[in-house]
Amino acid sequence: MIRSTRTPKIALAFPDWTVARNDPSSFTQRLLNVWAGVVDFQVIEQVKKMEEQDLLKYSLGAGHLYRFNLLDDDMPDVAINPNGTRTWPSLSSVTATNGDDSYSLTEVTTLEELLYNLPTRIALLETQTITDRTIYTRVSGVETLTTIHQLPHRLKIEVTGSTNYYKQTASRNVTVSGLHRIIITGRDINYQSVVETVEIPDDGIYLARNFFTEVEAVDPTGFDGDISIYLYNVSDYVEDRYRIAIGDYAQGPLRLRLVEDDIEDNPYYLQYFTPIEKLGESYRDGQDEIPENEDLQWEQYILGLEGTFATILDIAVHPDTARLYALDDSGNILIYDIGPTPFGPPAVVADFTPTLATYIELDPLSHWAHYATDLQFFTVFKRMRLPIHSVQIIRVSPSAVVEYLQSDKVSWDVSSYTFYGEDIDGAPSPDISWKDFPFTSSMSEFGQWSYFCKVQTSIDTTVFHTAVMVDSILPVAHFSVAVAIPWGLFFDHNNHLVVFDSDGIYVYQEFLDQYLADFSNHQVLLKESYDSVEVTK
Amino acid sequence: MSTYTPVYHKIWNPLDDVGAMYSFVRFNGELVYEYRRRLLLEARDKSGPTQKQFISTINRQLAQYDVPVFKITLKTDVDNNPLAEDPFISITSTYLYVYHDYDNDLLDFSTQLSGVENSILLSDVYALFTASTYFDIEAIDEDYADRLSINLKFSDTAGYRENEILLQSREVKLKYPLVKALYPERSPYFLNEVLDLASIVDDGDFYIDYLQGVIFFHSYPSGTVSYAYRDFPFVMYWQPIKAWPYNDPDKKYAFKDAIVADDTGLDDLVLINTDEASVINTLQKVHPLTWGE
Repeated sequence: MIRSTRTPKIALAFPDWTVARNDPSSFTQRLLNVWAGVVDFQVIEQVKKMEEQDLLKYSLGAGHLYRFNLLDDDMPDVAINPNGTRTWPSLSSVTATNGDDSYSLTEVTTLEELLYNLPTRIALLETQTITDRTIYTRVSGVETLTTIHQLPHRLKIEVTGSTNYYKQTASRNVTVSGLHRIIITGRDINYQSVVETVEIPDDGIYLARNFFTEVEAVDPTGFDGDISIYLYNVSDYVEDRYRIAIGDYAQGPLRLRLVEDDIEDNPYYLQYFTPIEKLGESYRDGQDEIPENEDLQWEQYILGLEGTFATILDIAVHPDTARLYALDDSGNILIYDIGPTPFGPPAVVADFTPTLATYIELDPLSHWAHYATDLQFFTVFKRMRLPIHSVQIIRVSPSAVVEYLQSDKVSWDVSSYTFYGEDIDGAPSPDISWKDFPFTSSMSEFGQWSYFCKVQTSIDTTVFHTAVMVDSILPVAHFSVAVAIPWGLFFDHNNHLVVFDSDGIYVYQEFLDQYLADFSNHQVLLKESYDSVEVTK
Repeated sequence: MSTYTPVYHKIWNPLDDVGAMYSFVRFNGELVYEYRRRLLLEARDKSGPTQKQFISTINRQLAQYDVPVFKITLKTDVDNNPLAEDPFISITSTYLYVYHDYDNDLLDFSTQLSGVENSILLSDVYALFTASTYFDIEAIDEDYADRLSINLKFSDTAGYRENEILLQSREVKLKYPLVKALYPERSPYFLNEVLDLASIVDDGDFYIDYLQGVIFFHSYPSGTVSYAYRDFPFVMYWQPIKAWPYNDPDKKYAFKDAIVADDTGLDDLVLINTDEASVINTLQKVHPLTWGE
């Protein structure tokens, strides 16, 4: 199960000083993640339900299947169980044919799987030449608008570089309304006149709700930033409509940013973050220096086929399934189930079994780390109950190599090393027996790194455990698109996957070659349409 | 081993509930996003009992759509005023009339929309507008050229705006310019229409700039005003299924054959042809219009 972004929210209920709240690798957070993951799925369904009857909704859902009724000769033999229920064995084979193509269908057991499983293939639906995808720009106050007729698109709006979100003036002679919005006038998919107001609470990326075929006027108000309105574009980040990101400082919509790492082979990683201040007017008030407004909560390398480093060009979240789709420079579409990788139980190391009580903790700068970089830790003498006699710090790599922190506090080795406390005999108080220090650990493998701190006092031995993740995510499915030099991808208003390049767009349809056997009704349900289906009992 | 042919199996989608409110059932085989487009059209341009609503909405009941083909704008002079004195465009069952001064019945051009000798294709209509000195034409639909002109939607540029709220300002810009007639409600702000701005001296005086659609008042108004206007830019639609009122006088060009009139010696379209006979027979089967059978 992937780690839910909701897990920290539950952990925040614990007091500030607890391991349960601060350490994602703790048993408590790993346990909470189980419930959070279940809630995640329910919330995705809830978001879809909230917009069920909204004609401009993002998630369209399914509207049909295909079926055929089985003849009696093709029905498997039923088995009646002692409790009265009936079960049937699976069909031996189900093969579908469409023209010259044939597909071997696999069985699923629930309707949800039939509707929302990973696609098994994609096919090009149509291509469209689009020479100019920029509809409107405002750069340093200079506006440019293109009013050409185009195919319907949900416009993408980017607002950047604002220094001031004008608040409503309090004086009687109101000169500033306090509203921050862009009013777009144009024609919709049916060429009906439409005026849409897009609220702009802060700089960022927004999507219009209507599907515009023409834009006749754009009227921004309330902020001074640059504006770009596109049919589609590769943007700084993607907002996941279904997930919220919860951290120590902020919670809000989960945003995902693709970043190229500057180490060898330039792998790409995803940043999970959310804005701290939601309203521009609370911190963009005309000052020259705009404070940083992102709460970075996790980073995760996005790997390509077979776990290799790939050049990822763009990402998009599927409106129906909430999966992440990525496009690499070889024209591969990679599909991911996103979320931070959950921490596993501590590695088992002889004499280093974690104890409930601990004296000294290990505090990493963050519980995620970049690949092939050094991460700094601190020892923290948290509970000064007794003078410290000795301390050993070990790490266990994802490949189960156990190493001890050495005296220089930088290098690690398989040979044991012990740090000793100060003046241990007759020490008047614990606080002078031990001085905390920083140390570094080089994160040279992907996966979970476990860190243990064994402390010996005069009466007991305790072991503290924490973990750091060099996180990565592997695709759960992939397809190849025949686009020579792709630029990016997005999902159009019909929820088709679209890949674009400099010339235009390529619209793809996803197919799921699976079936659901409903033997109690003598029928087989299919997701796709086929010319014929051959069934072997 | 047996071979089967799968059939379409509709499953419930939340949009079906929306469609039930609009009395628009999703057709078998209609994809959800196609159905959504139809519902969106109905939500923004509702069906109804008026002639205009009937003509506009007939196609969507069969999952067809009116195709916007041309946008007609007015040519202007250096002061940005239309060159046409009173522009008006009317598309009937069989004819296109383009007036540059409708009040004085002055045509820019007119053309029959059927017959190879006339404007049978939209490319012919496009050429006529291109040659006009009063109107500009922009093609919205890339594939307009080979569409039959006879399917141009029965429509015209007569617009009517009902109960537009007046902003509390001495100068009120109406939503539409090219105002033809104003129908204010009874109020103390519309007592005396004057001919220029300088003549607004008392409460109740008002001046209308008909061209720009601006009303000037002596005092701050309130309430609403209705008005007729010329609807430009005019979007011409092409309909897969064209509907037009049966009492349209121009239907004679499609439904009547010519005979020579006794008094004038000229061709007169008075003889019912087989097309109109078929329509009349269909009507009479439903409603005989006579006593008995």
